[in-house]
Amino acid sequence: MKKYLITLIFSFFFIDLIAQQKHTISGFVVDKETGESLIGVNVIWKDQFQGTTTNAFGFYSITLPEGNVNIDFSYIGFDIYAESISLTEDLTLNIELAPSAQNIQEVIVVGEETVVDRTQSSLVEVPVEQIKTIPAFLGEVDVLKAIQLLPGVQSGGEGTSGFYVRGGGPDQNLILLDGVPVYNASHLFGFFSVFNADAIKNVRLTKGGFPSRFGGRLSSVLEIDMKEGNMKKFQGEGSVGLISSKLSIEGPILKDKTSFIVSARRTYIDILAQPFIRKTNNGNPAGYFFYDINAKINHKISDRDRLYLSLYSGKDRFYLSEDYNSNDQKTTSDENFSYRNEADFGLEWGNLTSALRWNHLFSNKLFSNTTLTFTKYQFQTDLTSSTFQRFQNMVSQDSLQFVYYSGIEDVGAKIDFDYIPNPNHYIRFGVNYIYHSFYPGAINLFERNVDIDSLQNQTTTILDTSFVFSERLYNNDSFLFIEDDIKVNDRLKINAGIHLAYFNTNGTAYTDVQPRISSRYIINKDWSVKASYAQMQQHIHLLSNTSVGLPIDIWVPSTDSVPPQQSRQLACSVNHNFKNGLFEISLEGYYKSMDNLISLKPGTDIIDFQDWRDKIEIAGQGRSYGIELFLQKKKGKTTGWFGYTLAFSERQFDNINFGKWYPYKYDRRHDISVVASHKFNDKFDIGMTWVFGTGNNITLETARFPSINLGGNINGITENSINEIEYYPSRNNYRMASYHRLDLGLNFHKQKKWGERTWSIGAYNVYNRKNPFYIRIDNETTIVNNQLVNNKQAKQVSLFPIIPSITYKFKF
Amino acid sequence: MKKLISIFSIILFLASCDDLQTVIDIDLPPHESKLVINSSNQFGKPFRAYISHSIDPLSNDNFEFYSNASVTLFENDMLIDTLSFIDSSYFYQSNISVDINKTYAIEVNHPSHLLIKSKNISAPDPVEISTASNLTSSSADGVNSLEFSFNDPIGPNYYLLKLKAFFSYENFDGQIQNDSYGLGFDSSDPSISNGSFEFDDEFSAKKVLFDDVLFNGETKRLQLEYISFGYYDDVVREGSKIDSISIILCSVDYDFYQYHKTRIQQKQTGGGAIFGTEPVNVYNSFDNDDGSIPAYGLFSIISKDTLVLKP
Repeated sequence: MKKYLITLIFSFFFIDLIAQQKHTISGFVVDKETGESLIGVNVIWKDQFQGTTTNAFGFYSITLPEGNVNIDFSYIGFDIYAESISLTEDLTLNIELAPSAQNIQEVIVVGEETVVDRTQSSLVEVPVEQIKTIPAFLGEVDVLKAIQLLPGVQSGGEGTSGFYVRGGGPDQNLILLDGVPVYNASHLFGFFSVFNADAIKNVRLTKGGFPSRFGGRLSSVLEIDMKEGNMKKFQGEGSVGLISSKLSIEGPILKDKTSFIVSARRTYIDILAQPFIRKTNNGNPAGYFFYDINAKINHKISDRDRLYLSLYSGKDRFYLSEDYNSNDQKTTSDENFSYRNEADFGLEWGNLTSALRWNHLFSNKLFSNTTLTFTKYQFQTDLTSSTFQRFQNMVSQDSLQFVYYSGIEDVGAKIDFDYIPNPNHYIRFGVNYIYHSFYPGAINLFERNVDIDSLQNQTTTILDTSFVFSERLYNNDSFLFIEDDIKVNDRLKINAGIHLAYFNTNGTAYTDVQPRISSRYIINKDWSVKASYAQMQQHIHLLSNTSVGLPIDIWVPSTDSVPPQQSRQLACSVNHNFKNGLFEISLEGYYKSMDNLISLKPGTDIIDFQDWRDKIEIAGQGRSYGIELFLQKKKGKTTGWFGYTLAFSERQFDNINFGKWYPYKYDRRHDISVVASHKFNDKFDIGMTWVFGTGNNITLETARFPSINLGGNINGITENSINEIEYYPSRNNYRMASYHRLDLGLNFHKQKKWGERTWSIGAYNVYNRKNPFYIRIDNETTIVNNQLVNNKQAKQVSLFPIIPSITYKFKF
Repeated sequence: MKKLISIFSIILFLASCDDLQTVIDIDLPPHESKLVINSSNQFGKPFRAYISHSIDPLSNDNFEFYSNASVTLFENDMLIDTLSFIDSSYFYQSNISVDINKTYAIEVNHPSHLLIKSKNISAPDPVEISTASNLTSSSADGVNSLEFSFNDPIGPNYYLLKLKAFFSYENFDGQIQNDSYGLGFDSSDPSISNGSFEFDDEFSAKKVLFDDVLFNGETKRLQLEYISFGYYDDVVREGSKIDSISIILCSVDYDFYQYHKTRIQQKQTGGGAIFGTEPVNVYNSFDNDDGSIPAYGLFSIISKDTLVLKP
């Protein structure tokens, strides 16, 4: 393998050496108004219709023959920038693209890289500006909920931000915020994601055909890039909504050299509702809130060096206090007795991520990005209680502190290189290392008890202990990769690469060689076909009881007894542009097999006193396959997409469902999404989404029968000696009713002296569809003629009826 | 704008009044009623069996115990007895008691169901409590402990452990009354703490099922903690003291262990509602090798030993 790699690297350099009479044009492309680097700008050598695109930092490099060359720089929403150059030597050309004045008109951009041209399949980019036009639940624009509307992506449950890609689990999605993994992307038990849309520049989802630079998850990579901050002028935006408010401020610290952005959001239902809560909770406070802060500093050290420091911090907290004093009770008249109890209960979870990046240009063909990362997720529940009790002259005082916590902490470093020797190759290589610290669950308990008896003797008992029922685990997780985007000829392009993974856990090492390949063949300028194959390995697992993405879910590593998850995915697609590139359509089929999956044993709770390894079934298998249709219109007054997915997803564990294959909980046969927004004029636009999904699977009993109590056949049947047993014929044997919903949003914009204000009025679930959240069998007993009469009914519980929202937004 | 805000408020009000629970029809295959056989038998005691049938999950009927079934007993594959229905207790009982070193099967025939015959089973090795500590007087906090040991035969073995407390108290007429109750207990021994506890709707465990994985073939010494005055239990009168405790240790067969272990799990975890775990299926003695299920229930044999501890 080493031999192959060395040969491959040398051959790339050789290709470069023999390329005679050519010169390289390179530079950065930025937004003229803000100085933000633009990702994915098409740099087209018009004479030969060859080109490249800017990378994640706006850098491009194109090597062309000596002589007169004409180059176009094009990007959606920006005017095309055309440059004619007499190329006699290497050239640095930094470009500022101006936002198009015709942005809202139907413009046809020629030469843009479309779904037909792109080598990578299974990749979807959704512009944040488009996400902002999608009607939002409670007016809170949510990136992850927009992602759920894409074909091949399913939501977990009603209103939640968890997502499932091509039959994979929620832990199989690598969510990267500025390159840093985010382990729990949910606020408010999953109803909102942690990503504040005002601080985000770009969102890319890769569902398959993974290039070798990605690793560590089986099903998807969601890259979310934070804005860099305006280099030209100060600006801000914010909103006041039903549940939260947010504010973002950005601007230059040193014009065209250093910029910053700070964005913060907080819910305030706990503050607004506090008077009502206190009234119903005997004057004691209780509440819930979440907040998050995004901050980033971007500094141009020189034309060749750039530094970014980004930070995210977010927290959710639920709190409840109680203070009971028997002397306060009007009914208590016993002077010999008094009792007081003060208790505080808290539930808290949150992420902290930070990244320090250094972009360095070694030459006009070699770009590097070095990143140091830190990420931490912690869940904690705590209880503090103190009790004072007096009876005559006897006193008892008890104080208790209980803390349960679990979490994961990563420190990482990576260096990636982009090497562009000529227009026929785009080589990426690099190395990534993460040091994981897992703490899957521990309890700290402190109890102090003081008793004074009637003879005034004092006894003190102290208990101060920790129950670490799953020890901390430390792991080294690293990979090397190399890939090349090879232009074989004008029609065929191949991205081939290899990903070498190494994971070390308590003396057990897992290594894996993962080949990746994807190819694109252009049939004509409007049609192409693509195929890809990717092998992935995942070294971490998520223990979860539910679909909701609860904060109690626990991340655990692979160990000597729990091997890494693995997958192989094959995908093929047909892609077509029509109406001069105004519409893109793709039809993609995939087959994915998965091994070494884990699942909690039936009946197992996440929080208990067992080691997590005793609670799981291992060596599970999975398979999923389906087709996805995606029709998108990115330009014009009306934009949006139509997505349809036909999917199958199954699981098999030896000790679940009698060892037989069973449908995955999110084995949804059909998913349809329609997303559209229309801009009437500068003052008014509307957005709508309609989603349809086959119902989720649940496990429902098909029979009930009596059981005689444990050892209870001694005295014959009594009322208390009979237990009722439920029989479940198979896992996920019942499909709930289909899910569908229409959301609408209206935006009224108005220019003010200080900037722009927008009133957004929307409604979630416009036609008030009662979508199934779960089903339970309910037994209401009544007494008729002195006899208990049962009334058993299946009840479907829905979560959200029609929910209107109103939000005031401002920009200055 | 004012108009829009008014409409918005009205919709919000109406939405908040909406009932989010809907009674639905569940589209499941029609329920096919199957025989349910509950036959847990004890070494040295006559065979017994409760015969009933399964019902639809949405049926409002109470469970019905059949009195018109034909229940026959086989010993080493030879028909040896037909069990008689005991009206007062709703079970069928044999004249033959369970013996060791013999295999037994049960066959149930009912006009509404398929003929069901169990697999052959035999009694597990008898268990004997060899030594035990004396009952000590109550500690100040009411938590006392007791110890006992027993010999575990080589091979996989399964146990059921219960404690029963006997006590006396003075009734309202000043007379001394005797009573007993299932005594709650706990243990830090990993075999017990990892076992399946049944709580009987109270805080304190009353029974535990456990296996011998950690002490196979050894003499096992167990220490249990219990509350020596039962303020957890309504039965126990305040101020009463435990006079004696019965340690009841049963050696149970695999079917008994699996059936009750999974039954306790199902009872304690409930169904798989949104925050619940995936439901547990209860082990069935009557599964066929091909996975088909002709009947539900348990056919098992246990062997019991009791030791009474006194001060």
